[in-house]
Amino acid sequence: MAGRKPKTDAGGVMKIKQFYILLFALSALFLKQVSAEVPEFTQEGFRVPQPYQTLVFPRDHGSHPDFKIEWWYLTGHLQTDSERAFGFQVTFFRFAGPIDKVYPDSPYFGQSHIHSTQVALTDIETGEFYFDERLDRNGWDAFASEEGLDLKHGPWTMKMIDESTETIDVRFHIRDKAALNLQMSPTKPKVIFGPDGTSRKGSDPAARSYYITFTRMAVSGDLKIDGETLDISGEAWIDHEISSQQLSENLEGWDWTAIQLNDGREIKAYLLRQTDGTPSEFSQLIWIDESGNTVYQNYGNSGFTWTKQAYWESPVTGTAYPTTVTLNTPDPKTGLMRQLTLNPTVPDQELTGDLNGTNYWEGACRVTNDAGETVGRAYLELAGYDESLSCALR
Amino acid sequence: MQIERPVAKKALLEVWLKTSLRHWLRHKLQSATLIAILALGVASFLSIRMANRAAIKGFSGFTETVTGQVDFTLEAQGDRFSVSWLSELRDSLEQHPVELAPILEVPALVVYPAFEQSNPSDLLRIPGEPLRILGIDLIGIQNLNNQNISASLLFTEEIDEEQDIFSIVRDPLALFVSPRLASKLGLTIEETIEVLIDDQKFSLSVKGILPTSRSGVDAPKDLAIMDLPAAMALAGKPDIVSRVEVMVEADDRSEVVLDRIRNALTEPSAGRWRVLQTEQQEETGAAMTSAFRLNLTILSLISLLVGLYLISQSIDAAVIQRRKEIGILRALGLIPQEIKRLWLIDLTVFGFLGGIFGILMGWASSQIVVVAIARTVNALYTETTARSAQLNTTDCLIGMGLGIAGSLIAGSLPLRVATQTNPAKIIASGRQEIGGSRFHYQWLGWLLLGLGYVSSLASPVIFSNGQAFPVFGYLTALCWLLGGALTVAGLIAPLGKWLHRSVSQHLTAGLGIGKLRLPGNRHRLAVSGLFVAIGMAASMSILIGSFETTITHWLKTRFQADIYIASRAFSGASSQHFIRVATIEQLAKEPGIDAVSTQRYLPIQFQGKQIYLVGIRTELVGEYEKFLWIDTLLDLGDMPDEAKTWAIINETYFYRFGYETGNIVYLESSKGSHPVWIRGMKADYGNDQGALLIDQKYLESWYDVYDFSNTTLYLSAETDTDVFSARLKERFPELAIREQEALLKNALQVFKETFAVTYALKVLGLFVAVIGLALALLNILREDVTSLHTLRALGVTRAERASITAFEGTGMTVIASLGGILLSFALGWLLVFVINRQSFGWTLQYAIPWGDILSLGALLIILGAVVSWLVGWLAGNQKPMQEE
Repeated sequence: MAGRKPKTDAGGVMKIKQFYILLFALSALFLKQVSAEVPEFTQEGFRVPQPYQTLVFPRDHGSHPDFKIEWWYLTGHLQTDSERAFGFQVTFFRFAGPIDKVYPDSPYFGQSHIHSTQVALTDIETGEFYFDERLDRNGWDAFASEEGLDLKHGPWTMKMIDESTETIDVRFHIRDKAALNLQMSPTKPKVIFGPDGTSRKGSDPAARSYYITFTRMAVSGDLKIDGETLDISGEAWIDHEISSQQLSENLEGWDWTAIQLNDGREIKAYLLRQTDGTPSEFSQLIWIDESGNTVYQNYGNSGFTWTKQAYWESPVTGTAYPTTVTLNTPDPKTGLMRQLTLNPTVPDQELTGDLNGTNYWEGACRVTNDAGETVGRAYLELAGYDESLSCALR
Repeated sequence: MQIERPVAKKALLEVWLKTSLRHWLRHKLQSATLIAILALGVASFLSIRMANRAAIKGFSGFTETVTGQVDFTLEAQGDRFSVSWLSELRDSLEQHPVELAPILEVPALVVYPAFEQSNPSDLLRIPGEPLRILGIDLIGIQNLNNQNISASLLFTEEIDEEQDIFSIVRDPLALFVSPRLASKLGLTIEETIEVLIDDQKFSLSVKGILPTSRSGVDAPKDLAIMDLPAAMALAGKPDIVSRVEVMVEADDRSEVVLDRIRNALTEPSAGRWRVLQTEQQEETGAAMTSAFRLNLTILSLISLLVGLYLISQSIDAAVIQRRKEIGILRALGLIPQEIKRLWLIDLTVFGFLGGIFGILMGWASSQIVVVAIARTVNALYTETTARSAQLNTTDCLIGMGLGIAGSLIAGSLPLRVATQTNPAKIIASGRQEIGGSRFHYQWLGWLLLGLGYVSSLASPVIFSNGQAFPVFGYLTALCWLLGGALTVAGLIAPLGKWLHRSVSQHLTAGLGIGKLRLPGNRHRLAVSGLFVAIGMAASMSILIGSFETTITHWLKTRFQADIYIASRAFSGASSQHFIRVATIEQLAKEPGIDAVSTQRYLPIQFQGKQIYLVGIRTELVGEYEKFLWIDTLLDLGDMPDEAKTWAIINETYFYRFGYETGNIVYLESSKGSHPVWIRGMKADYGNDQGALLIDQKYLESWYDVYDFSNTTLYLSAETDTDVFSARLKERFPELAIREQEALLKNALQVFKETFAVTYALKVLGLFVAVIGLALALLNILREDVTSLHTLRALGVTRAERASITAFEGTGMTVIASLGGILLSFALGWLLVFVINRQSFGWTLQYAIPWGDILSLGALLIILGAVVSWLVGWLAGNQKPMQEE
């Protein structure tokens, strides 16, 4: 693995972990019992996503500083003309600080938001996995525009350069290992998840988010790696999630995937794992058809199942991740059960973050059917399999 | 004819063990002295070398503990790097693997009651514990992949778990201090400390103690860290940082990669900032003190040279003492080469032992010298962070090399005597003269004196950092020392004859002085040594005298205002403690003031070198502001049209850059290039970097500098200075308010303290001279045992014999002193007009402190007489040829 080595200094790292832990824990602590009314604000004073709210674009691709947590998550599968394949991931996070007091915010070194960004590249041919991360305050080196999609964190950027075609430009590099310049345009309309326009994450009415996704983007660009520049193309998936309260207090972690099937449809599925080992009732699988229409399925007999087939143990953190999984789901088009197995393209795609303090596995996968045929590609995220996340949620 | 034959090494070693080792063990005091002299020479060189290195390291070590290894540093004119430029930099860097760390240095003072009460009479004393607050983006710094201290600051154990990242970065008064400062002041977490920044006092809250970095580096005592925006607010600089440190985070750190990054950093600059590679930055810091350190190195080499002179004398004494032994060894069949080898073993062993002790002594003394250097450098130039000097392998090797080489070189002359000793003659205690005819080469002496003069006319060598090294000045000094030594040695006989004529009637005087009519080489060597030592000591007196005269005159011209005001933490031109505009405005409203003059020292780069641009109120020049003019001001009507304004330069600037009164120079700022006409030149002994004085308004419009280093008040005639000063002190407790008379006195005191090291050198010179004379006379007496026998046989008493030696020694001292004083005039001239001018760009007023020099000469002659008498008295009672 070629990423940063995890820090061994207990003092420094544990504390930075605690920062993230605290953010998550705060969300959990304020979780209230179900209320029929969706509050306008959380107890901390942040806005709560409201059902049936009309989102306005391109403005709502941009930042929403009134909400506590926001992220833009981009994964994709790339290949060269010679079929050399890569996977990549870019996630821009924004966390708002407490708003109980008003602080003068310097335009250069702000104190109201923290930006955290992670980037990763999987070289499927060589089996190398590269990643890097950044942490900054809002200011000269990290900002998210409120006008539209325009994110900048250090040298990494993500910007919508054409609002009519929703073309997005993404640039990032991983130290001197790799550098990517990508342009992507949606080949399908964007999806706003949730029957009422909000995606629920728990029983508390405030635990919901605005969840905007481009499920399929055509990507082209170049990749500098090993001293050469490669022309690349492929497909990507972009999530933009806006919330002020994300998680329920009895959660241990989650398994999440974004599948792009070869037939032009996509599946988003997540399994929210509770401390007693059972999946949360808010776990969901969503089918997105060729036109962007969605079908929601809950976990269970009448819905989908998520079976862990094989584990990979990290040589760095010692954590065992279920990196090979099988989903069984009724196909809305045929009504028949579909079996989809996610196999990692490279076993080691673990992000052992120095800065966010949370170790997780996020990797490119090949999707096969029950006959073993490749039917699509996916990105799989496995969080909370070591103490770094589960501690926070207890 | 010498006989060649193979010698068993073992046998030679046995002979050495039975003769030399036995001798040295029996004469423990003599052996110890010899080793001590060698050790002293090695130690003085090493200690200066180590102290120098520590001083240089002080400049760079500070930030390394904060951001880790820095590859480039970006600096703007006047240390004012606008944060609005950072985004341009980021864009230019594109996908280069680079991290940027903007840093604001905020000098501060921790003020605490115990310190304020101590030594309140010293006006120039800085009233508190100096602190360098580094404002760093505590969140951004997390991105650096290094082993630094600050990366873990946010998450140290001391920080309460309830506190999150926001509570720290939102606390505008949160400060992290070093463990040593915390321990000294008994600080604990959450405790509040009073800190003075510029002319403002702040109460900061200790949020944490700086941990030891993961690479094991302890935080310097005066280092404190704050979050950058908090530090900016404190310093009143919301959009300025001192510098930007650039770290390349790549495995491939080849020149090509670094060059590309350097270009990307330079490209958007458009003259607004410069890109320094780490070594260059260290050089910049080091350049500030290089002239000073160079002089110290030269002094340490001189002390090594005088050490060699003493060693030579000591070994010569040992050779005389062991002549009989040498004769016996020769008689037993040892050939001269074997005798030589025996002595080489002696010299090597002494060199080795001297080297070891020298290294230890050097290390010990460097710990003291570092403090002395730091103090002197701080007083003259800028703040250093030198703490201690570390000994490394190279130092040890140099120390051993110096010890052994010094011993062999110094022993070479007496060694010749040992190997050329004729057994029969020596056993019979015949006279054995040292050396050859080298001391007769008087023509060589005159030639060297002439060469020295020619060399003094040459220009200095200029280093890449712009620092001048007066190499030819030092060469002149060497030529004059050697040439003078040869010349004065040749004058012993004629002067001896002349002196003898007037004292020939007197028994002891006649006999004593009479010996100088036919001087041996030992006489010549001793007189030469004395001559050099006196010359050096007296020339130091001339240099210090010249300095004192000049500085006193300069200070008296400069200090004509009634009240001098600066931040209480202000410590010189390089100080970063300023008076803010609002304070000046308040001061100006005070009743009883005729004029308010201000100065602002802004370090800027001029043609690649640092100078001080000094903002002054030009309308006050002449009537209020007095300067010691070298070129008086030209008529303002002569100012060329192309010039935007006029400036006064100091002498150092003229010597460094060659621009003189009437020239136009161009000053660069982020606002462009500004032509400035040089209207006059003044003497200035306050800095050796070069200074250009322009009206303050140009500092404001060209460099966005709106604060002041200090201000002086000219009071109206009817104002009572004492009452006024007392009122001001009460109203502005954070300002240092000093009255003219007291400040002048204090400033002179500081200059005297700065030259304390030269007093020590004078004492060392005299010590060497007197010890050298004593050893020489002892050797002469031991050598000339026949005369001693004869005198005894003639009934000359012990006291009379002592008197004879006293006259002989006094005669030598008189000749050496006269020559030495003449030499000191020449060396003094050289130091003042060549070496100092070339090193510092200062012309001093050549002043000979006659009282000092004459008393020095008299003291030496008296000491010479007493020591000679003592030598004669002690030697006169011994049996002749007390040998092995």
